[in-house]
Amino acid sequence: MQPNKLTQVLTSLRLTVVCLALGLVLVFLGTLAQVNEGLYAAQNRWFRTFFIWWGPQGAQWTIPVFPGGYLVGTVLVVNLVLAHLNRFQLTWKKLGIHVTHVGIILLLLGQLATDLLSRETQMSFAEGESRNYSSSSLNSELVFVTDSENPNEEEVVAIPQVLLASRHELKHEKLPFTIHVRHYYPNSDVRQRAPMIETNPPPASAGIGPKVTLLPLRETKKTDERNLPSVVFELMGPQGSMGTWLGHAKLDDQVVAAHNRTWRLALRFERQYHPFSVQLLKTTHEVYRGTANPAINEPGIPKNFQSRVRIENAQRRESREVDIYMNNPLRYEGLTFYQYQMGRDELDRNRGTSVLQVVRNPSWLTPYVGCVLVGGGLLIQFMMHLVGFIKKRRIA
Amino acid sequence: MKRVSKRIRCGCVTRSLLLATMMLGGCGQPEIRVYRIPKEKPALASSAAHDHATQTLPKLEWQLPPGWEEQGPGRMTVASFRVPGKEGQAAEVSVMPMQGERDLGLLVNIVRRGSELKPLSNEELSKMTEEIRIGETSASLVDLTDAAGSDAKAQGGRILLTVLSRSGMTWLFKMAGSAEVVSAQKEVFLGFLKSIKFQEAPDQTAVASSSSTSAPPASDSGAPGETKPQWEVPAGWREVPATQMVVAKFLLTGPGESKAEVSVSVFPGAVGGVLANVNRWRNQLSLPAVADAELPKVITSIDVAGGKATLVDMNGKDPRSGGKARLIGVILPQGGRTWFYKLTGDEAVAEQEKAAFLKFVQTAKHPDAA
Repeated sequence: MQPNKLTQVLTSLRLTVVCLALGLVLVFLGTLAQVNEGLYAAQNRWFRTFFIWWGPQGAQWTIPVFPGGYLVGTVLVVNLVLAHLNRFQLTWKKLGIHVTHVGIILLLLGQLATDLLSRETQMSFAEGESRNYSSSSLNSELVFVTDSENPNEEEVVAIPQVLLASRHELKHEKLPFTIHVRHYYPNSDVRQRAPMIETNPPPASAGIGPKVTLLPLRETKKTDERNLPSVVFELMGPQGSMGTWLGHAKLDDQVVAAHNRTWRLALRFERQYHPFSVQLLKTTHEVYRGTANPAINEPGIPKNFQSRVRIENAQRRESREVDIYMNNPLRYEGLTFYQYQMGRDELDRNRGTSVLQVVRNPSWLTPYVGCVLVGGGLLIQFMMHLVGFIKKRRIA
Repeated sequence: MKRVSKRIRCGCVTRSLLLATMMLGGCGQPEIRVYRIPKEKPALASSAAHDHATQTLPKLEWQLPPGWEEQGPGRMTVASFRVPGKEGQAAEVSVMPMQGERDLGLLVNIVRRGSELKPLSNEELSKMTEEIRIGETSASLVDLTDAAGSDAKAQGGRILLTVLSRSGMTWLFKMAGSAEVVSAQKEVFLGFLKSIKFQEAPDQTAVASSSSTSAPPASDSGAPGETKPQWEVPAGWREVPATQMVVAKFLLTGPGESKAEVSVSVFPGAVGGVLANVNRWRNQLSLPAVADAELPKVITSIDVAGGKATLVDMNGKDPRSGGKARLIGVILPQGGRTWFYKLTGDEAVAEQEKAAFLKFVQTAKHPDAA
């Protein structure tokens, strides 16, 4: 296709209509797919992709069958920008149109930036506990932690679960051993091995392995459930095998010694460390009066979830208390802390627990700016027409 | 001409946007990360954060039944034992303390769930519960695998769970293992429970073990409602409600997540003397006890308002976390009573706050000072 022909297609309003129609179909199908695929898997398969891929069940190949969210969005932005440039007229009369277009482009680009750059983690703790990190709710990592030359610090080597699931052998210059992945389960459970019930061999030979039982489970698609992956791996040092080990989010850290150093190893949800800590002081869970009925296990209609936390930031010499509750997030150090879940400690029903959703979104302002620009542009355009109309009427 | 330049511009923008799109599509390949974090704080300091929940853990003493092998404390347990049987069969006994008073049904069903057993109703539970003695206190014993419909017993397993509520705490004593071993050892297990003695520690003790280290008497402590000495609290110390046996308590923070606490307690008399108390503190840091002859090597004397006091500064290990910990303590006999000032926690905070702590002790004016 010649450049001028390509430009003609990319600037056509027909392409805009086609993109909007494809977007409608995509949102409809993607929403339906969430029932079977789960929220996050459907988002990745339908929206965070350039094409929807399909292949017969059991086949090793797939073909693109429908444009994905990234492709539709990208073409729409390109179409919008080029169409605007192609028809651009530098005149005050079109000011409202220009501002509105900039607003729409900003909204689309802002959404793309949010999708690519934003990161959601969770901070969960019980009253009295303090955290200087938040954890991913979806992705795990196998970590090896050891002392560093700085006595106040530890060094962490973190292997993402994607690599555990896809590779058989993993090496890193910081680790004095090679990791040979024997089994990886996307969802599983572990429980204390009851010597009286289990006669089958334990899942691993070293660490906690001989004392637990591993139960592989089907992957859950439900948004209110979590997949807990597990990995069985063998550590190979210069002297040979250092035993097979089991990693699972429910297990405590295990210790392995190599090269005159000790390493703590654990499979845990990916952590994002912060230069400050948050301590949960008090949780408040209020429901509307008359809606709770303990006799039939009816928890009531939530009125207010509130966490009182203390932020301790040694670098800033800051120590202050803050309330986080529904529609009143805390914005701190480029992060936004939303009240997400609330509960009671399983063993101590008098002790409240809270989960804060921690969002880092560098482009969080773009939707606000975009909406203001679109609204302002439309207002300018409308007022120009209105003023012109009134002037014409007076002259008449 | 104007039209042509516009088309050229559009073509350039098109290619740039497509290129940018392709570049974005290639981002996000996962890789192994290496990063540094502040050293995780020892549990001794982390427990200080739970100021409302922290409670004194008494020491336990017991008579070890013949054949039982002591396994030592674990992360959640203060003691555990292996009970060997015939042909490689075995059972395990563990002792786990919990803050607060817990519901028996809740605990039983948590343990049952861990062994893939169905939860019990209150009615079923009450039929399976029997009252026994642990030391001088009555407790509930439940044979967890004795429920109707349980398949664990058929598979050769058995769990006995004993739950004791005492002084605002709940203690779990569990025997689990081969049904044959558990059945044969049930009476021995009950005898072991009966032999248990709780020995109160006078201050924030994180240690509970079978050692026979004597702890000072605590029953006549005047801590609750005790008049505090007049003192000037150093900057950065945060006073929190004092717990049982403690006159005052402060939380201290240092670099990163490091924490420590200062506790002040007072007891009538000499409370076992300097040696017994120094060894009690050494035990809290997993350090071996010192003999009378070695005592002068580990203590120094400092001047305080109204007299002299004994200072001890020790580095050791938090027995619960295994992490490094430091304890700086001052024993100050005054007016027929003995005051204990103790700074415990992360080494970094202890080092940073030592001078302030000593000044705090040395300038405190006690109500019973001569």
